[in-house]
Amino acid sequence: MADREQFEALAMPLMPQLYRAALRMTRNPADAEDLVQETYLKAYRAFDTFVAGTNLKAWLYRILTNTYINVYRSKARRPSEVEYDDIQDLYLYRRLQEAGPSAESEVIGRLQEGEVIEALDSLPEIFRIPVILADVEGFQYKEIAEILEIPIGTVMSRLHRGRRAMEKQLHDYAIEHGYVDAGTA
Amino acid sequence: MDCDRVHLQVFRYVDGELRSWRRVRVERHLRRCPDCLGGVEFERRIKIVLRRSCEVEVPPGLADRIRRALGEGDTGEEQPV
Repeated sequence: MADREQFEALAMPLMPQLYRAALRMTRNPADAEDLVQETYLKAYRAFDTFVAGTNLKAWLYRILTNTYINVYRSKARRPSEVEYDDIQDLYLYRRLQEAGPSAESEVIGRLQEGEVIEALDSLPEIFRIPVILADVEGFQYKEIAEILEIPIGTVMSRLHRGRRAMEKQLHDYAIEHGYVDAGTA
Repeated sequence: MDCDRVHLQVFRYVDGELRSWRRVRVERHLRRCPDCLGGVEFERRIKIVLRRSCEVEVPPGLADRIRRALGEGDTGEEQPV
């Protein structure tokens, strides 16, 4: 068994970040706590296989993601990789430009945290996890490819589709809550 | 580089994932195209808003709970489910 003090000294400082990611994966605080604890137990048991000097953070996120996928993944239909193919680049920016001058600035200012989280949470997990890793956790594409064990091209495709789908969702909220006029947007 | 090609690369540009020669070409376009520059700024702001929205306090007691579970693993006690 690995040296627990050494493991805790290296791994515990990353716990707040892992919890933040776990919460957006599970979308439920109790499940997120269990997921983070399970991640630490698995990481500790496997710590002998961790190569010192390599990316500990990415290693822990890989364990977190695999544990989530194996234990908590929804039973929902697995969406196709080409889902959201019809949503154009700069989707929200374009829609808001049509809505009037500086509408994009105004809408960004008015969007509530809850609406942004709801838009993220609405994504199927194959698109949501890359968005969490890139935009919330700040990983580079190469690191995400390592964490998810998929090619970089697939990371880009899923991440970009996920973001476009989120933008479409945010546009719906903006209309629904009167941040922009449905007639012009 | 035209607007359509820039649009295709906006996400990779704001993520800092373009190779330097591509980045230079995108930036050359952005200097003379306020519309694309606006799009880039907009995507940057969305990323910031998303990150900020996901900030969360760690539940009190979680760190202790994990340390306890790690300790139980060491002593061979049964782990709580």
